[in-house]
Amino acid sequence: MTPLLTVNNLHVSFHSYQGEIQAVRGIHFAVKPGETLAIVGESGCGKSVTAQTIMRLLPSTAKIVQGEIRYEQQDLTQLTEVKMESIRGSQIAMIFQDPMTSLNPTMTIGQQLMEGLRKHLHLNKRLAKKRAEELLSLVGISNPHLRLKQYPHQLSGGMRQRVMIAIALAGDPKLLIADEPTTALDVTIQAQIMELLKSIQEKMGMALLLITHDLGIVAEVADRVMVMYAGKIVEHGTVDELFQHTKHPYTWGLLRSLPQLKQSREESLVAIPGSPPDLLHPPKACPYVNRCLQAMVICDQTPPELTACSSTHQVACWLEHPMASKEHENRAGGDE
Amino acid sequence: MEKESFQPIQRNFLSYQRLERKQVGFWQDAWYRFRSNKGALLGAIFIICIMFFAFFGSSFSQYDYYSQNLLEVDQGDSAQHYFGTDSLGRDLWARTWYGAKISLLIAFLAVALDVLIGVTFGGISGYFGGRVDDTMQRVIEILYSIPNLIVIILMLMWLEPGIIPIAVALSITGWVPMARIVRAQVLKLKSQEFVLAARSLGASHRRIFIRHLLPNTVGPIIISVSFSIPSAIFFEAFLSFIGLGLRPPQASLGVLVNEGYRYLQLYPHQLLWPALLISLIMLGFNLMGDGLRDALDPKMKR
Amino acid sequence: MTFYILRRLILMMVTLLLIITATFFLVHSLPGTPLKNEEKLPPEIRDQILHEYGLDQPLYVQYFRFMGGLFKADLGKSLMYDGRDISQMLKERFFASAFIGFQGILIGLIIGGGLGILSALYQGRWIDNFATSTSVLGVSIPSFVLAGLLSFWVGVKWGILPPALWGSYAHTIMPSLSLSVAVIAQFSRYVRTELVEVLNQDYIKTARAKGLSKAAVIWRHGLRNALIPAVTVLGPLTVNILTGSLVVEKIFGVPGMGALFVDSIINNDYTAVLGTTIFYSLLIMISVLLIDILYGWIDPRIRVAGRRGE
Repeated sequence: MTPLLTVNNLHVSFHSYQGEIQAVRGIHFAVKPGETLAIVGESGCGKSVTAQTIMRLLPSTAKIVQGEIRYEQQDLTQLTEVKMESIRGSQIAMIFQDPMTSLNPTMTIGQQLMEGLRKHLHLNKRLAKKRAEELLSLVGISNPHLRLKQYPHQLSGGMRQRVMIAIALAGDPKLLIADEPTTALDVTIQAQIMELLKSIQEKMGMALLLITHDLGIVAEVADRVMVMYAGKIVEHGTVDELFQHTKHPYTWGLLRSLPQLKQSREESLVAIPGSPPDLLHPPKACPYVNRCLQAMVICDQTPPELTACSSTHQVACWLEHPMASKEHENRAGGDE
Repeated sequence: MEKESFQPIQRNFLSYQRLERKQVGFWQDAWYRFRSNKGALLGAIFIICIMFFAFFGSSFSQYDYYSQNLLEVDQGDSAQHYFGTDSLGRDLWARTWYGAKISLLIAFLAVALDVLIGVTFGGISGYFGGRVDDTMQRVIEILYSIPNLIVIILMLMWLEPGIIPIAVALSITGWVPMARIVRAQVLKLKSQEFVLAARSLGASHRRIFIRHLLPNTVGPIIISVSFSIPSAIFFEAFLSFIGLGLRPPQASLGVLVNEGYRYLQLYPHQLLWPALLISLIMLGFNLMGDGLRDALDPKMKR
Repeated sequence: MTFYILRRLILMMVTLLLIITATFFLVHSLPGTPLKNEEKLPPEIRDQILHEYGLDQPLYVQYFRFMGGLFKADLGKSLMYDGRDISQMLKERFFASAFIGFQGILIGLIIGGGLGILSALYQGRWIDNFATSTSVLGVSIPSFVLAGLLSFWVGVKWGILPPALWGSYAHTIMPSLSLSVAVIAQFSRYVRTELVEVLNQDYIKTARAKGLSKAAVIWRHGLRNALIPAVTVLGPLTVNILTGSLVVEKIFGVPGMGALFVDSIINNDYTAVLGTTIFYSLLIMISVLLIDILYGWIDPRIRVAGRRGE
């Protein structure tokens, strides 16, 4: 199947008075139609920047240094702003982390929902209103007729995120980017929203690019996972591969820091020591070397390349090199 | 590739956390941002120069600000009288810088009073909260809704005009914004962990306020002060202009502007110098204030 | 909302009562006598004049009389202007002041708003630098200095506009311009800050993610949200205009309330000071209240929920 979206060798930097912050440092990936790809990592690893780059919604201090983002024969990095406007919302849509601040406080839900409908589907006012009501019902909001006239502050956080999803769906996009869609919500609401996203994705047959730091969500909804660290992809594979045949020590560390039902009381959660490197001066070798329990001499000298271990599974780690000792291999299984 | 490359690294984990970037403290960071703001630096230079001349300017001239010389009235600028003379033959260079000194003194005094009252009032109100805060807030609310212009004018009709009465009149309502800022800051800070920690260690109210809360309100206070000074200078000049200022031979910039107006048609230079100087002082403080706000306001910090 | 307005009205009444009382006793405790050339007057005439103004009564009687007069909009009689009615004088002079004031604030809002919007949209470009410099200069140059310079150069030297006095529309331009400079400076700065902040909000990203054009995002989502809070500075700006009008009217010889106020201060016309002070306080407080109500009305967060945002 030809991919819907392909990202090649993307580099994105921010300018600050202290220098250039290299937020994304050469990543490759592809999203196929209808699938769910999750990007996982700590805050500051470049996952949100990647999402904003695809939408070309980077702040003015950021710029795409090199690379291409191919969406249906076009390179999004090269499109004019006007062309990009016709893609945003109608081809690729996005929902954001905080539903409390992502809706305009001085416009009604209806006004905000109908903007996209009128722009992309060229509906007149009456039809747009009808469609807006349908969309609200679709995202599980009862009494849509009434809700259209309300302002965001009259709705709860979960409701607002549903409205955000409805807004994103307005242009009938083929790819939906969800940037931490549940982080700002209550735990009980989180599950509902993820379920909603999943069911809508199936109904509408769109691809979902899910940015999150929550591996629990990933395990539930994603087809494939990409782990980012310090602006690079460190591991990339199907959910099964990543959870059952973890290769990279960082991924393994992330998994270990998750609480598990089977875990006994004596076993404590293991946090990863240290903190990510400063991207003002990104390390030339493996960025994880400072925090890695299996670090070897070479890790501090040469950066590891992303290498395939199966047709779908890639990892950037020197431990995969034939000359490295294989003791660590058992650890993922041995943990259970 | 050599086999040794794949040996585990020997190291102590904790000591290995390299800090590649120099860690910058808040004040250092603020200083950097202030320095890199051209406008702010320009403002600071204006102020330093003007203050220098205001306090030492008289030594560059043989004249003083009050001696009249009826043989040399209304002269233009010359090697003797750099800024010329006024209608009573007084040297305008000496008078202008003297006026600047008085204006600055009044402003500094008024703002010092603002800070003193504002920090005390706002601090107590914010720190103790509850009914104390409620009562004090009502006072502030009423004071805030009284037009300060009216209060200042009335106070000055009542007091004998002089440096201290003018400063007092200016700070009667001037302290209110300061109190609001300090109260808001204290309210925000007092529930934070470091204050709770200090309290649970048994620190006294006084100690908590002086050691923990005050240092953290310094930023907003500085910003507020840097805008209060030009506003005080403006009001002083304004009062002198409408005839409620200092009495001759004392002079402030406002008095000089007022005197300059009388002969504007004939001798515009008599208005020009004090008018220019007062504008430059205000410009300097405003520029510096902008720079300080950008440097110290954490909201703007990105 | 109704509760809020009621509360504010009560607060306003209390404050006003406080101001009136304080002003009354302050004015009456001023040293000296309100009569000019008192020494030269024969005692009988002096007593007669004092009696005419009610100044021979005990102070508290005068106070209650004065307060009673207030309900009939009677502010007493001027000492300077030979017993003319102060309310009447204010009424006559209100139009001139209101005209140059409104014109000044209108010019200020239009130019200031425009500059603020442009500089927020083109941050760091020449128009931004220009607007920011204008704003700092405008805040820094006192109105009485600017008015003098305008009057001298534009009026006297170049003769483009009448330098002073009152009569035709041309006479209103320079006073209004002098007043508008401070408004331009403050409003442009405020709009810039507000718009920059709004443009950094998440909902702007949402709007752009919908595929709206930049113009639509700025117009529908940016400006609306930036200008709603900008209404709140109208209060301080009005106070600013009223303050400025005192000196500007004096300099340009506008027959307005400001000039009356300054004249009565200079001439120790105590009853007139009392009357104008009260009128000014009332005017300032009413405009501030009206602006707050306007703000509550145009911001749906307050209008719908009936409470202040945040």
